[in-house]
Amino acid sequence: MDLKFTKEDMKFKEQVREFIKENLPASKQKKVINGGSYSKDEIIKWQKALFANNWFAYNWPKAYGGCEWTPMQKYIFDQETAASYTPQIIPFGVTMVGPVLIEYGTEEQKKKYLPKILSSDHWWCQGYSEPGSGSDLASLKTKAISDGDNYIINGTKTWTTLAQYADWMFCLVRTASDGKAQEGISFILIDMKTKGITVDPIITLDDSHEINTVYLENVVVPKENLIYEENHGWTVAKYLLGHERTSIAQVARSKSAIKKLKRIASHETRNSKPLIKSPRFRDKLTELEMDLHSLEYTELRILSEEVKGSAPGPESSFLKIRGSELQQKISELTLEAVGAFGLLNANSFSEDNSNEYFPGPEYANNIGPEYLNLRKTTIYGGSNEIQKNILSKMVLGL
Amino acid sequence: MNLTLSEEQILIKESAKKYLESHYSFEKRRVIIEENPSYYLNHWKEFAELGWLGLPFPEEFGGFGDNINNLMTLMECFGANLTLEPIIFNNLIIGKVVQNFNLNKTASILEDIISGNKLYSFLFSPTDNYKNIILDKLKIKKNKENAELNGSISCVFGIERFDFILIPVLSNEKIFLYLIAGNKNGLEIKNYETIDNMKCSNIEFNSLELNNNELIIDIDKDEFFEKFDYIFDLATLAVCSQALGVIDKMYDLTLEYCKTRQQFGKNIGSFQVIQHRLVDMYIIKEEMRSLNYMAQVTINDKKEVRKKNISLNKIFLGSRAKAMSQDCIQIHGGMGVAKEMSIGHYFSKITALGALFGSTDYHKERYAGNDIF
Repeated sequence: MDLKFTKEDMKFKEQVREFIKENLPASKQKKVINGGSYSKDEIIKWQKALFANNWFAYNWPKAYGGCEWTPMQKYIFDQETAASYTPQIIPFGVTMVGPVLIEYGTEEQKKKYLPKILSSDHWWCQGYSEPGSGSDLASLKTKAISDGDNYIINGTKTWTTLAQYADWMFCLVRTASDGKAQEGISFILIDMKTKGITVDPIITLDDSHEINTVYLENVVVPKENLIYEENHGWTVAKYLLGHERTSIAQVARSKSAIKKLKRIASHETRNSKPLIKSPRFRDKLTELEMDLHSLEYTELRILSEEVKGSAPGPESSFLKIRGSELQQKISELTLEAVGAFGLLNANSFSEDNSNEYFPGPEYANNIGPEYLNLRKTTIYGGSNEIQKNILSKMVLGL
Repeated sequence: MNLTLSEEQILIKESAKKYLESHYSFEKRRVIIEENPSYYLNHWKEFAELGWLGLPFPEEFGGFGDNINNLMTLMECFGANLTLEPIIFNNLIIGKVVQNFNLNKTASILEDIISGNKLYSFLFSPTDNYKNIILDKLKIKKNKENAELNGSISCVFGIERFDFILIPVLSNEKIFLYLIAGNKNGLEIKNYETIDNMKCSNIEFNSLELNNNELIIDIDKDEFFEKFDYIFDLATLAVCSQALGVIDKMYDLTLEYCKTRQQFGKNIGSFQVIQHRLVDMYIIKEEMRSLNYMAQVTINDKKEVRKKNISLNKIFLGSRAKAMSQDCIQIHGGMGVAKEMSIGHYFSKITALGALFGSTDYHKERYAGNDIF
């Protein structure tokens, strides 16, 4: 066991830092550190810059335009970008449907979709959950009926993240209703400009518009958009979920968030003393550090196994559970640290979520809304209850 | 011994429930917030007519018996319906300051407050540092005939609109209370909305001129805080009572959801892992009520008992009740984070209530009897 960085690793770290300096305006970065967010255009610009540097598709084979980073390189990239509050790569295209296409797509499908994913010219969204099918995803009811060379699709998808920007959606639909629920599901790609698609915003507790309901009404989709075999979409979906869960732990981002929390706690005072000197507060901070380190080293252990050649298994559910809980705990303690300033709703005084008119210290901007928003982390990507079902079945053998 | 609601409390609870169900349904509340920018005092006049603005004040001033417990019952109903009017600030705190500091204008001001004819506020920020804010944030320069006030205070509630504001300001180890009209020059207020749709403000004084006839009283600093601590405690208990109404409602909503939401071909309430969590919630909401009644029956005991019991309520709100509120969202899944469902609004409310009138750590320190932090 060792934790040594090779010379190449150290060089890579410098390159990442250099890249961030060149591609991220400092003024924008400062706003995001203080609770602001990146716009669609800013995210795309960042992704395009990464692609131009051949750094975008870290988990794709080189033959498809990926960069085949070592786990250590991926780790360094995540650490550095999180520490600098860069935009986060939108996972639906490059991290999720990309590897699916590489594994299950036909040559034609690869040729058609992969280049636009790499260039960020297509924004993807994920059509999985439905109003009646959340944790019980296999019960989904969106129906695709065969009609010559096409499917006619009807149904409702919900919690669809950033569907308001999407050009394409990868979607689970029901193509057969006899037999086991999982057996009649197909994985299909839908052009969001197709007639019959309506995207309705869902406003979340922090008054932001991140998720949507997508209505599909007699949407005609060519059969050539089917990935893998009809009625075998569950196999594809399971392959993809493994990819979603490893990126969901957000260790590097949590590390940055704890750093920010420490900065806040050294500025905030209680009874004229810095909050960070309060033993009660330090205890809680220490527990967060413990959770962070146990999570980080679990992730590194899994990465080490991967280096030796084993594929990510059901342990990724463990990362998702603890990673999401940690994000929530940090936001909770951060809200405690800023007190009443954290209650102000950023959307009530600025259109662009900037902190220009914020009455308190800059770092307090959006802290309360973020606490509300992050409740989603233990719910999305397969709720933590479902992750525990997976672990009890697949790992514990219960 | 009797740890049940009094007849008066039952009557208040029934009439409040009836009124709020018809005037403050989730849908009506949404319309109020979206369509009426000055919503925050929408029902104030009606509250006065219902007698609610007089609940904690003596009959000699037009009140209804100086009974704090009656107000706590009303606060619980306010919590259950997410009422938007800042009754804690524009009624309880200012009214109690006026009553307990025996101002020469007490009778007339209280009459105005209870009748809802005039709107009064007390300048105060309900944070852990509220004492330091009163002592440090405002600077007064006294002359013979008048004085000049400078400084600003953030996170003040109940001052989006007011006719008069009572300002505590330190000078020579004394607290001076000035009562000024809302339209004075040199007064700048910026309003913000909080995550639970309340209004919070930043108030700034730019060389505001204070006349000697606006000075209501001056009082020794320690004596001021001794008296104000009692009012702070009443307000803290009012917040906890409101939170009790919120938690009760979150429990009802979550239980109902588990009985109707189907996954894997069954109500999710049929799963043992969910059942045990619901039982924990049931226990928590009952414990919270027990602590609330404990604080109510000891509200007029000696100071140490009162303070400790109220702190326990606030600690419970910031620990067990907070964790329960998070679990209610979790059990609702995606529906829990969507604003179209009511559960998330209750979650925002409990979050906000937890952050005001002393953090959990503040009250833990207070309970343990040590200096704060």
